[in-house]
Amino acid sequence: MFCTQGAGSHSLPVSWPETYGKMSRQTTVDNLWTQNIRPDGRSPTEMRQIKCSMGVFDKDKGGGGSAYFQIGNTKAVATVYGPHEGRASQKKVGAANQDKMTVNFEYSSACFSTNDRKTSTKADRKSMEMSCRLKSIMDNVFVHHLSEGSQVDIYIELIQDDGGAYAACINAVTLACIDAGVPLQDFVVACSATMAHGIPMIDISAAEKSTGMPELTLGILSKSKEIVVMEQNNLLKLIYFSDVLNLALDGCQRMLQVLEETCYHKFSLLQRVIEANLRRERT
Amino acid sequence: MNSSISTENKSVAGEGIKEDEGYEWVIDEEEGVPKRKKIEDRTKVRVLNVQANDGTFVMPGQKLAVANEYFEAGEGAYEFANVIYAAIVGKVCIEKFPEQELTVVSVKRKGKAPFISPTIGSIVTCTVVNRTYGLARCLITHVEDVELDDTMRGIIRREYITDKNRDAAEIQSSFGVGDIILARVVGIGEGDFIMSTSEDALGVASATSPAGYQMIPIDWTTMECPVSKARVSRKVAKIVQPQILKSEPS
Repeated sequence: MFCTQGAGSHSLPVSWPETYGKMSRQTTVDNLWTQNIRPDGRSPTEMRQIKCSMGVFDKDKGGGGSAYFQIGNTKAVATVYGPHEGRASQKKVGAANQDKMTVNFEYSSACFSTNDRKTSTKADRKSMEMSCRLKSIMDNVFVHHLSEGSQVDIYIELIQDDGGAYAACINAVTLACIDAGVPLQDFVVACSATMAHGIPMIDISAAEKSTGMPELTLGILSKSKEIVVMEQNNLLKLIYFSDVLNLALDGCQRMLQVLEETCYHKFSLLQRVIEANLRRERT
Repeated sequence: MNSSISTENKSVAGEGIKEDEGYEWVIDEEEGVPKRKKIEDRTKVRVLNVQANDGTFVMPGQKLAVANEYFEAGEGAYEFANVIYAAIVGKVCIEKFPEQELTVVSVKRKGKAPFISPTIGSIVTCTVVNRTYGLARCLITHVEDVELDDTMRGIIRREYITDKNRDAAEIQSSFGVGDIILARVVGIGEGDFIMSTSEDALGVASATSPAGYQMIPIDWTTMECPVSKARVSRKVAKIVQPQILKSEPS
C-alpha cells in the first residue's frame, strides 16, 4: 500500500474532475470504503454472482434430488436421497419416531475448500456441528405428517469456501429438497451480511471475513418471513444491528428470486419434455 | 379495585365507538389511520376461495385456499392457520366429493409418486426371497395397487399362513422362492413388516415351475406345471386369474 498524499482535491487544477481526482490521488485499497467500494470492487448492497441448478446428478430408482449452488467462489452441492423406508435401526428407536420423518444430515467440506489444506473433514468437530445445525433447521421446515415413518438422507459437500458458506449450504439444501419432492413448509433462503466503517454490507466474502468483520447469517421462510436461522460471528455494535439485519432480509428476498427462477426453469423444461414424449407415443 | 380500573379502561378505549361483533380495527397501511374492517370467519366459508386454480404450477409455501371443515389439504399440501399451503413443487389438483360436502386440494407432481408405506391392515404384493423352517422372507413391491419406488422387507411366520390347522402349516409346502404372493400386513416388527396370508383370497398368486412355466392351480393347496405336469403344494390365493381361464382348452 502506498501511503496517501496529504494533498486534497483543492490543490488540483479546477478542470480536473472531482471524483477522478479523489480516486487517483487519495484512494488506496485501505480507504476504498470512503467511496462505498468494497475490497473486491462491489458496492455495499451488491451481491456476488449467483449460479444454481437443480438435478445435477442422475436420479436413482429410489428417488431423490440434487442441487448445486454457487455464490461468487463459494460452491456447494447438496444431494437428497428419499423419502424412503426407514432403516431398521431407526425404526427400533420407538413409536415416537413413527409419525415423524427421520432426517440424516452429512456435511463435509472438500479438503481443498479453504486456504489451509486438511486431510479429512468428514468427522471433525466443525463438520459435525454444521450437520447438526443444518439438521435442526430443516427438521423444523419439513412437513412431517405428509411422509411419516420415512427417512431422508441429505449430503452436502462444500467444494469451495469463499465466505457465506453456511448460507450457501442452506440454499443448496432447499433446492435439493424441492428437486427430491420432500414436503417443505416454504422456501428457506439464507444470506449473510456484515458491517464495517459504519456501512452495512451484504454477502460477505472470505477476504472481508479474514479482516475480522462481523458476519451475520440470516435464514428466513420466504413467504411468512419467519426467521429460522440467525447466527453471528465476531462482535457487532447493537445500534448497527437492525441495519445489518434489514440488509440481510433484503438479500434473502433477492436470493429467493434466484431460487424461484431456477425452479421455474427446471420444472417448465421437465413438463415440456413429458409433453413431447406423450405426443411421440400417440403418433 | 382491579375490576373498577379495568372497566374504566374499557370505557376510555371504546369512547363513542359501538362495540360490534364481527368487526375489528385494523391500521390502514396507506393512510396510517385505524379503520373498521369486517372479520372474515374462515370456518364458515363454503365457496372455494382459490388462490391457485386447478392445474396451476405452484411452489412450496404458496397459498392455495382457505381451509375449514369443507376444504382440506390432500397430498403435497398442508394446513396452517386455516389456510392450505403447497408443500411441494407441482400442479394444483382440486377434487370434489359432493356426498361428504368436501373439497380436497392437493399438489401433484408428474413422474414422482408420493412416499407410500404399508400400514397395518393393508394388502401388499410381495416376492418370496428366502424361506426357513419358521418364516418366509419377502420383498414388498406393491401396496394395494400402487407400485413402490423402493422395495421393503417383510416376513410371513409359519403360524400366519393359514386360518385353519395353523400348526400343521409349513413354510416349505406353502411358498416357494420366487413366488408372487398377496398378503395382509398385521404388524411392524424390528425392521420389517409382519404379514399374514390367513385369508382365502391371500396366498400365492403366481408361481413358476422348475421347468420355467407359470403354474396353474388345480386345487387350493396344489399347483401344476402345464408342460412338465409336475405338482407342488402351495397356499394358493382364491383369485380368478384371467390368463389361466383363457389358456384352458375348450
